[in-house]
Amino acid sequence: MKPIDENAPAHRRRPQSPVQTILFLAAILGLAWFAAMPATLGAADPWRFMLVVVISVVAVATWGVFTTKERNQLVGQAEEERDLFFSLSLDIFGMLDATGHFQRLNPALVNTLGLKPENIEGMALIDIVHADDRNIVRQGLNSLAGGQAAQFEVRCRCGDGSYRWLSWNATPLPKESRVYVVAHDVTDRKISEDALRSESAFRKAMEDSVLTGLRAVDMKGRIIYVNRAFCELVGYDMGDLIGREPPFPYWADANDEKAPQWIEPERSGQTPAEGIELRIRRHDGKLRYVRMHVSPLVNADGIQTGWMTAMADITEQHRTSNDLQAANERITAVLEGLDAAVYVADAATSTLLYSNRAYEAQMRLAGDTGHLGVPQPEWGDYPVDPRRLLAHDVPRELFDGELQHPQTGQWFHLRERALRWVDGRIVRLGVATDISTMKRAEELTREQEERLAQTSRLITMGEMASTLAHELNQPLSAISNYSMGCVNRLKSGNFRPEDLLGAMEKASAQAVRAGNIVRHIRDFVRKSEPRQCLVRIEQIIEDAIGIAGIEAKRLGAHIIVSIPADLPPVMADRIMIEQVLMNLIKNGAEAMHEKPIHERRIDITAEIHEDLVQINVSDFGTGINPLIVDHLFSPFFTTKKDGMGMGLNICRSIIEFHKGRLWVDPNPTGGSIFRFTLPQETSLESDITQ
Amino acid sequence: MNQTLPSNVPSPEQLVYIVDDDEALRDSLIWLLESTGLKSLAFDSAENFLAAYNPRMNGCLVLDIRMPGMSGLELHEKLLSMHSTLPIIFITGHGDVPMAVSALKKGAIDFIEKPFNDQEMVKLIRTALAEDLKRHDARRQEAEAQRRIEGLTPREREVLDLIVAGRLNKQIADDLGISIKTVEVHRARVMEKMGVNSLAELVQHVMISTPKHE
Repeated sequence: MKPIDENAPAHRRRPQSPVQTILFLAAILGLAWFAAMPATLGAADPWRFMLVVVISVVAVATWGVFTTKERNQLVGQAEEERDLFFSLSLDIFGMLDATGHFQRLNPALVNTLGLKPENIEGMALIDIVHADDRNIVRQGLNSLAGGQAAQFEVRCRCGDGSYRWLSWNATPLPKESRVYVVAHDVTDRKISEDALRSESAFRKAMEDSVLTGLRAVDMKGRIIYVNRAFCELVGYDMGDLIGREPPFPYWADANDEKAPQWIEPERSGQTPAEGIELRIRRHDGKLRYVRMHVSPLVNADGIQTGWMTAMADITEQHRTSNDLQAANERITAVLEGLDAAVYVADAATSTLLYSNRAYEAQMRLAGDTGHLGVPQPEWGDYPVDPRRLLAHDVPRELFDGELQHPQTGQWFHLRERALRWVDGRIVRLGVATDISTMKRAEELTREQEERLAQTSRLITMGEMASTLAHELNQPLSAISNYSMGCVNRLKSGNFRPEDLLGAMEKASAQAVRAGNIVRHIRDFVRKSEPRQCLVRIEQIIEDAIGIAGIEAKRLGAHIIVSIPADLPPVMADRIMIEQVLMNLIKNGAEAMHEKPIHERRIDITAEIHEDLVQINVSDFGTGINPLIVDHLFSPFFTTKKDGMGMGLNICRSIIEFHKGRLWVDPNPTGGSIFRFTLPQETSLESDITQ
Repeated sequence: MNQTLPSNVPSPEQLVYIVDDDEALRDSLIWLLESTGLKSLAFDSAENFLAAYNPRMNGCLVLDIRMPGMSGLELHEKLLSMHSTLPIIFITGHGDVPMAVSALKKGAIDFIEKPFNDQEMVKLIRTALAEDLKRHDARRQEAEAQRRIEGLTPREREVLDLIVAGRLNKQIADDLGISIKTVEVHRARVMEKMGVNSLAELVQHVMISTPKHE
């Protein structure tokens, strides 16, 4: 009931009357007088003693009567005031009995819960409490029963069935077996608290769920807040970071000249809109790239309290973008560094869309900036007209060939493809390589090879000189013999003309034989440009045997030629192929010198493969050691005592010059088979027509 | 003795045997030799000639030094090993001279380079044929001496060996443990049987009957 005392007027606090005071003073004086003469007081004066006693009793009794009356008067007044206050208070006042039932309640409940006190009196407090909160109330009642005051906030049912939060204060009065309760409505506070709590939970959840690391520092730069993403980003616990001042442990470049990069934006709160890119060193030592945004942290009163920093991990982006950029730089560097001219032109209009440096230098026409330079294929050189290509026609090859620049005379190898350009239109992508040097080198090589082949033929001739001389001497000797035989007979007169005639004819035949040998040799060693023409393989083989056969015969080898009758002609230089055959025949014959004479045989066969003619020269000698097969065609490799080691090397050059191939296989029946191919004339023809 | 050659060829008649792999050369050489009165027989390889070879062949051999199969030189070696006395003329081509020289060292008569002068060839052949005759004579004498030595008794043979060794009758008597008288009888008989009149003649006969290389 404290509020009553405090709010009561001052004069009502000490009620006093004049009678009460006079009686009280008389009693006091009487006692004082009696007390002032103790020495005279005794048995001799019992009246006085009696008087004093009577006065005192009367005084005390009179004081008691007055006091009780006064008090009754005061109590009644206080109860009036209390009831008034009770009825007018906005807070809920009430009394409960020991069992928690309402005995009295003030009208505030009407306002608060929309209930009437008379409806409630006799109800238990617990009855109006939300079922979920009843335990709280029971605990409160328990402590009240133990003489303890209780305070609880519970939801109470309103008249309309809704609930409001009431904060109850209960004070027990054990003597009266009553509990005074006072309650006030805290619903609004509760709602704002809940709102605040959920707001804060929402904010925390948000902070925790964002991938962006958030960090707040105060004006001294001390970290006052970090979110989970920030901790995960830098790899430090929240406890390691809160309260830290710069330099922060995650600064990757804290100790080098890059530190200002960190400090400046953090101090100034100035970061560009796109943030700044920095590196951090995680607690585990790994470097990550981050993008950092700094903004001032301003409180509700508009005063800046620090800076808020948002930091996003862009390592992956950084790498991807770095890779992309590097790839782009590389491809540009490659394209620009190429000696080949690269260009992209609109297929329909020939407008130049891209060209590299080499293109600018080599092909672009002076003054023309928008169109393709030269050389270019004629429209008729394309398998399809590039100007009429549609989307579904591409990508496809357009051109692959050699072209000469009409002005500079340079040769280019040009390859063009049709494809879809980045903007969707159909373009010609061309790569042109200057092959002038290569062409010159090829020509030179061909000249050198021809000289080498020529030299080689001379060497071959030299090696066979004595054989050839011997071979030439046979018909010459025979001619001489026939002639002198005739001369002797004519001189002696002892002859028959028909005998002489036969001898002369034979002599003439031998002269033809000698002439053929000479012609072969002369043809073979003649110095001439390689001259490819249509030739029959049989003819070449026959010519080759014309010379090499002599050597083979000397070595005791006989040559068996078996080639199909329908062998197509080949485009070749007759002498060069003859040279190859001669070398192979000669080698084969030499490889068999250890074999019995009847086993010394060279087989020459030919076969047709699709667009090739293959010629095989087989011997039945000792074969080739597998260890040296690989070197067999190398220059200056020889197994012969006085060989130059150029023969097979030159043979291979010759065959490759004819776009054929020369190789060796072991002969299954002993010895070796040298095989070479030459393109068929038919295939050459079809090439040309294409 | 095998008789591969026709037996009607009389011993003194000489033939020019030609061995060459070149048909034209063989044919023309026969034609040439025929024109000078020389008879010839040609073979197309050393192997074929060897198959027909007979030690009693008279004449000479014109041999191509370079042939497929068995070469002329190889045939020469084979004939030497068979004690053939057939004189050989080698036909060589250009560059075969060193071969021909080695053939000469082994007893060939001569060599001739192709293409050859017909007169030179004929001359060489005639020389070879003469040589062949000489060799035949020598062989005949040798055979005669041999035949006579074979007609001696063993004791006469012993006495002959000692005479040729230069021993006197007295020494021979001592060596054989017979009397000088008996030695003289044997000596007279040997001289008679060998058909000689002097000691020098006797020694010569004994020498030719014995091949030099033995």
